[in-house]
Amino acid sequence: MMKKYALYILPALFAALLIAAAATVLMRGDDPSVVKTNTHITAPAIGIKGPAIVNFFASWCVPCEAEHPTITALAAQIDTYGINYMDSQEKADAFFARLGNPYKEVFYDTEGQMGVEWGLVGVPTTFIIDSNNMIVYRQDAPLTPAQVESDILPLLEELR
Amino acid sequence: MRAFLCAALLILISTQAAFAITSPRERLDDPVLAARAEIIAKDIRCVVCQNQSIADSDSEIALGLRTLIAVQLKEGKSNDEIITYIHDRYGDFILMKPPVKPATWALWFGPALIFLLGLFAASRMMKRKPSAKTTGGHA
Repeated sequence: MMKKYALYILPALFAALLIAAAATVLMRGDDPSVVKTNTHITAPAIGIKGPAIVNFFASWCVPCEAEHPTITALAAQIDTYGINYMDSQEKADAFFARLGNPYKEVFYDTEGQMGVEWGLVGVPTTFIIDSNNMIVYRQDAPLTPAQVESDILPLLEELR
Repeated sequence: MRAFLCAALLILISTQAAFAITSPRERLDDPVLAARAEIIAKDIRCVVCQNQSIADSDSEIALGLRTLIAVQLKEGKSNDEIITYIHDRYGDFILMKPPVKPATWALWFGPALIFLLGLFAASRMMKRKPSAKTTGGHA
């Protein structure tokens, strides 16, 4: 009888294992759907010098608008460049007129070709590059103030 | 009439799988390069689609990646160099066949493991005597 029950418990054990694996990353505060990929490769050359932040955004991207105050606060601390993705200069200008332009310089990627070179999946995506223009941090989601406090400011301190 | 409808239907079906060329940006006039571009594109996943390669997708990202492949082929890069370039930027998920390594073991061997567990469980259950069910009752 004992053996039979052991057999029935196997799928439950397996499920518990999967849940535990997913739960540990969630409890830690990471988003397991975000895969950190192209860190520690050299950033595509766009004529900037690190340490710096490179933020892909678009005027049609609502999460970018939500992220805008966070980027504005960061831009006061480090060179922050914007890449306007699949958009146009006029629409970006209207976006800046409404919310302000936090960027040191803005690049225009109207066809999404720069995006592919950076390994972009969607906007907003933020990269941090070090003084050798190596990508040391990447986030495929809006930055939050809490995250800036816990992860990004300490990282910027290291890069200085 | 019926033959005509059949023919129309066949044409409709056969054109569905055509290689998606949507923009002059990704066009390669050299047929050898174009053939290589298609081979590479079939190995690269469209990251915003449901299990499509960039050869099959009309999305902006697929178009961007196909353009990147076209540009790098014209620069004389090898297939492997181009795939490595994209893999470095997008990670394992970009490859239709992700590499086998400890982080992807669950992906590659998980289904087989679950199948074996099921097979083991099924064989145990089938080996049980049928009479055990009626006489044993619930514990």
